[in-house]
Amino acid sequence: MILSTLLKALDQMGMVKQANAHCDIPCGVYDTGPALVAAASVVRLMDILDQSKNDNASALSNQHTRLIAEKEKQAEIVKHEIRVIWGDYFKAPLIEKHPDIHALVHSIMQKGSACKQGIHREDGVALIELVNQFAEIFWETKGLTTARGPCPYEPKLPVVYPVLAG
Amino acid sequence: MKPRLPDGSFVLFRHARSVRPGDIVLVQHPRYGLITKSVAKIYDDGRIAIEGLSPRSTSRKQLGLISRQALRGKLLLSRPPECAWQRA
Repeated sequence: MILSTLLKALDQMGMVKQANAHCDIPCGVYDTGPALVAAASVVRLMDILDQSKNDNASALSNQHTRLIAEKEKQAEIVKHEIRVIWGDYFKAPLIEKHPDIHALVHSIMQKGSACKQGIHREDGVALIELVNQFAEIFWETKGLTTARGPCPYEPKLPVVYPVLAG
Repeated sequence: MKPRLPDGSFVLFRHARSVRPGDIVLVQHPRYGLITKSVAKIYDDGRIAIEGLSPRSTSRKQLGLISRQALRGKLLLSRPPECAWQRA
């Protein structure tokens, strides 16, 4: 206890140097944008699938196969993008400030899988909403406010983006 | 596998004249800056091969051989961060 207090004090005084153990390229470029675009794509693909259900059988099987494959790919992109930000960017001090982040990321993984498995639009909409919540937390850690509004393309559902200073 | 030194650990190094394979050392690396690695091998000419203990670490080949002058110290004690989640 005394040792940890002492170490913390020394650290706060800038007397402790930081050494890296992994030497990953410290690029630090993280953004929730790609996850949101992929989540919107999932819903869009579900909508196209739904609209094409009355097409004739041969056209249907080809198009459906492509749409389903793409939907699964986009859902996997959502999962990957969120895992990377959560695993590489969120460190102890941020996690202490946002203790719910683990549960939220877990929900995104589960919902992302549901979107891969099925074609239920409500799962896609829920996936966007979960990614929006993640984006709000992420941009808050960057000291930025966020704006929420419908994306200017189909499926025109609300998405969260940072408000960047001019 | 959890890392030998969890992210955010306080690590105390001491100046050391000699190191042995397996020692965890602090190195001022010409390319990667101040890093902590494990000693893999010491060559006759005194240069030292270092490696990470994680499979995700930068490879020995990428790290290259370092001189004794680049050695800043040898691990004396380490203390994991207080955040319980990171210790798990």
